[in-house]
Amino acid sequence: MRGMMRITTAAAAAVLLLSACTIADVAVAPGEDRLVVEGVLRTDASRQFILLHRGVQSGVAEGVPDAEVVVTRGDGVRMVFEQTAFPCYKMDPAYADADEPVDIRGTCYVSRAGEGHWVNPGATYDLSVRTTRGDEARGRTVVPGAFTLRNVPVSRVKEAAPAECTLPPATPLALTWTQSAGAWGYVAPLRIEGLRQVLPDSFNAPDPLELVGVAVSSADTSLVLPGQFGVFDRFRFNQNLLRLLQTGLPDGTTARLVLAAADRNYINGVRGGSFNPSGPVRISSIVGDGVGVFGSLVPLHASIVVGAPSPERPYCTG
Amino acid sequence: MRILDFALVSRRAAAGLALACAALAGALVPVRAHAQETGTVSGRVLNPAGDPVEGAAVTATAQGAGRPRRATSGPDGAYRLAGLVPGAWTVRATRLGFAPAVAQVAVRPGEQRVDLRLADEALVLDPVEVRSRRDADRERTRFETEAGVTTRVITGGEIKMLPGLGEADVLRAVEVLPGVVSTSDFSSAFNVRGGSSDQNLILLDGFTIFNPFHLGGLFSVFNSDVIARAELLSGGFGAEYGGRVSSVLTVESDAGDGRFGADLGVSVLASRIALRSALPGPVVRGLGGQRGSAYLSARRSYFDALLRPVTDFPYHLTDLQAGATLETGGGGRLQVVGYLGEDVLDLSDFDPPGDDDEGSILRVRWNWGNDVAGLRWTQPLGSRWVSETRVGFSRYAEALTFPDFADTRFASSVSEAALRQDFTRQVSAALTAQAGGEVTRMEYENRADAGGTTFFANGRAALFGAAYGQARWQPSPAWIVEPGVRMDVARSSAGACASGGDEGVVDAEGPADRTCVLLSPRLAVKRFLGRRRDAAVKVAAGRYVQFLHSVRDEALPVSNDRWVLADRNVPPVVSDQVQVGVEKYWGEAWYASTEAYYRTYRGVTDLNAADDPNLASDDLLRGDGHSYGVDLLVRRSAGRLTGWTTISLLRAERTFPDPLAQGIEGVPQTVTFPPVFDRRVDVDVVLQYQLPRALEAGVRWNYGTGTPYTRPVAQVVGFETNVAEGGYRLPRPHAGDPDVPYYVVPGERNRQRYPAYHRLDLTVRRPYVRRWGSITPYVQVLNAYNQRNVLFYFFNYDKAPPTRSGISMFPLLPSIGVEASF
Repeated sequence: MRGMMRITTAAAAAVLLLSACTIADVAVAPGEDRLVVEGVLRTDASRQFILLHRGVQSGVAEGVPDAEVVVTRGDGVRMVFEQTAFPCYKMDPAYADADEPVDIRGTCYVSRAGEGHWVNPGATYDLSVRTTRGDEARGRTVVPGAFTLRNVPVSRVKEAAPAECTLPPATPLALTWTQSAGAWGYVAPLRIEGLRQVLPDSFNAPDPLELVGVAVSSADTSLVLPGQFGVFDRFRFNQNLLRLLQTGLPDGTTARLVLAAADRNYINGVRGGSFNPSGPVRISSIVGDGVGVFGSLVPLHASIVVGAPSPERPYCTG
Repeated sequence: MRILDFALVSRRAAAGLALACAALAGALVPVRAHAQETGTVSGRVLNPAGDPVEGAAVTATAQGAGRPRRATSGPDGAYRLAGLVPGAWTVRATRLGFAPAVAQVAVRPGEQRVDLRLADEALVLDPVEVRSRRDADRERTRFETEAGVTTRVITGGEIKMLPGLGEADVLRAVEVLPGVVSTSDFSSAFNVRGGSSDQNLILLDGFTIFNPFHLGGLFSVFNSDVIARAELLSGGFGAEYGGRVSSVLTVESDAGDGRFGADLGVSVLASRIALRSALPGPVVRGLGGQRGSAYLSARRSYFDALLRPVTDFPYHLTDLQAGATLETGGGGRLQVVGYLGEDVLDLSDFDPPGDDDEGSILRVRWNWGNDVAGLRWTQPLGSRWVSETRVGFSRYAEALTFPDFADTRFASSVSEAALRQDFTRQVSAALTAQAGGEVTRMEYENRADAGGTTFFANGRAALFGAAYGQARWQPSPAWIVEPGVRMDVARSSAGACASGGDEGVVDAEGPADRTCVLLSPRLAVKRFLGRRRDAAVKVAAGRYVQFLHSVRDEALPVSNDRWVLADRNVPPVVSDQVQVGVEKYWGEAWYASTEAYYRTYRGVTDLNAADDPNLASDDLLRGDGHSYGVDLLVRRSAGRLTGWTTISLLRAERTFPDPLAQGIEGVPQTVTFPPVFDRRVDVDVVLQYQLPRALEAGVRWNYGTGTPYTRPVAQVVGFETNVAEGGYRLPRPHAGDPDVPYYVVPGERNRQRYPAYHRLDLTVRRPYVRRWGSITPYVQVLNAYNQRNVLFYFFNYDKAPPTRSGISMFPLLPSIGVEASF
């Protein structure tokens, strides 16, 4: 109750202040019709996706059909991307309830099948995009070097079933890995399943619960699972749940982990630029007539089951 | 109510005056009379016991005509009045607590010694409002005795009359001075003549204070009840000053005159108390002194206590300031200064688990503050030397912690321990020499840890030394020449000025431990005009060096400074400056000045948003800049209506490398832009009026052309990489907030301008004077006509049609308060 009163007081003060401080809206010219490139190459996938879309104008983010999208390998081989109807992006259904919905019409391009896993650690790739409107955009990425997790079995291919190990309940796991040469950091999405079945309703646990671990710089090669995941989500979730996770995972849950070494362009794309009151700024690694990201990841996949071990699924070490 | 005029002058100024041998040529001494031999009257002002009296006002008036000549006795009681036309003069010395001493002197060519012995006088005073004309005299004294420095003084009384945020605020008062701009109502940080806010040296009684702001800059840490004056040197300051390149702001405390007094105040922000008293006799005698005084000031916000029965208010601030002064034998003075202050934002006291709440809120504790301690000893050595020794410590620290997450902490700190020695010698009637040195140890640390990851960590300690020499030479009554040179020496654990001071060169591969020496020559020349020597033209030029940078995003209206030292990765700031000015007094009431300036800055820094986390050498971008402009000031200091008008014209520019463009052909490698404080025209009108029925009114009107901002040119859907599953996605929406996330594409940096800014502030005070003291209620109104000055614009290209919205700065903000003095 006191908490609600505090929130109410703060909100009232904020409303009072802001109502006295708002400036009336005026109509302005539309924003520039910019080409946006979302291109992140992955070493764990045989087929690579690049998403093209345009800046939002009047509630619509147009697609970019019939563009020429080519990634050139270091050996000069050109990997031509084809437009595809396969949806390379997802939108949570909740966005349909937005006060101001946006009609997003992104266009997906995919590398040709049969090329195998052609994105390799340590290699350099150049992107070229030419649109029917005459936009020309370029980018370059240097894929981080190969690395591995020391104490958890991993698979390096997304399509393969992830290797599994067992973690005792209420036991944090200190993940450590070898250094990836050239990485600017590591990003580790963690998906925890089964919390709603094992925890009281008061924890209001999402299922699955998605947290992200971050390690900055190539030499930062450790994270404690699950307590050091979700640093940037600590304002969102129930604090009782987060405090519980500091002590480990409950019995009966499963954690699916992807640990990816990220290149400069990917890290710049997620960490944001200088402050701008109109919204977050993304540091672009696309030059020419477009903005966006052309980066690369070296992902490792693992699955951790909380409970008792078995011959097929021994304890995770460490 | 009587208004007493009395002489108040700081120890430092008194030392300068006593030994400057100011040749006060006035109305009776036209320039051409330089050919006529003049006389000099000098001596000492003594108390009835024969001890020297510092700070006595000495006036010489030629019988029959002419403007009085003035001097102020120094720490050894010495005074000097030169350039007097031979004839009959009346020399008078006054000092509060004494009856005046008067001597009739037949001035003849050459030097005459006249000691003035004051007599005791028991003063029975009605409660008075005291205003010091000495502060106006301080500017006048500097005008008459110094060549290059641009100095502006705001008295404690004037600070009280300037409307502030809830209560008087010295740093907001500084904004009304020429050449000073502020970029936001929400910040009391200020910029001087195109310099950034970290380039201002702020001193509390001569000791550095790093971040003298509460709430990220909303108001300052200084209690206006104990402020005697604030003096801003906005250009042309001499070689004795170092460490910052843009300005020096000295906030001087009012230690009282030894009599017991108390000041109380309550405003919408905080409650405060200040006590003054003489030091107990046994203490004074035990320390070998003759007289001593002390003061203590405390201030605390009260919303947390006031609202506790209803709710927890998570913020409070405290300021504690104290000082003592002891007058020792031989005209010496010992001063002790101390300050402790803290802001606390404490969201850790929340409901425990298990109550009806759905879930507790993230617990946060954030505190920051300053600590300052200093000892200052001024001692005359014979009749021509003065020694001043200063030893002090200053620290600013900030910490943001989360009680439930021990792996997350953000901390920043900077500290300075300094020892300084100055000597002043009166070589002759026309020549004063000053020399000194200081040794400073500075240390800083900035660290951000979260979730087992160190996002940034830097810190080091450095030893800095400086020595300087300067002279003040008056070859004739019409000229003052001030040459000087300062030598800064730096040595740090990572090699400060690894380039050896060469501009723009950073030797990241050089020796880890290296000594850097930088010379900063300075020269100022003043030529008095007219027979009365009440007008002058001056030129000052010099080099200024700064080894400390503040790292902050200046686009944010409110933030705390985080300091870093120059090292192998970050060179010092080197600024070359020149200024030319004309100024004139019309009697005691009117003054006007115009100054033009040009400044270059090498080694300024900016945050590198795209820094390589594997390297420390690219955390900051190194760039250059320059600024130029004109400041105009017209001031009236006498009468029922006083005040001033300033007009400042400025153009500032910065150039930095573009880290994302490096190595890419066909893309500009640097970015040039105006900084956020590039306010091209700034006008201040300050009026203070004595209304009927003892009412006092203060008005401030400020106008400024718009400051720069970066307009976004496009808005794009905020996709993220789906690292777990492949492909891309929109981030999972927050519960109850399904709005599509966006990024904005910024246009050219700072190429747009907000609309012009203007605001009218009013204050009305009504002192009620009684036998026991006075009580003064006051009303302040900020932004009296509720001008919607733009703080930010938001561009919404997703709407149909696209719109621009925004939020403004302060709305109409009335406040009330009350002060009491005993």
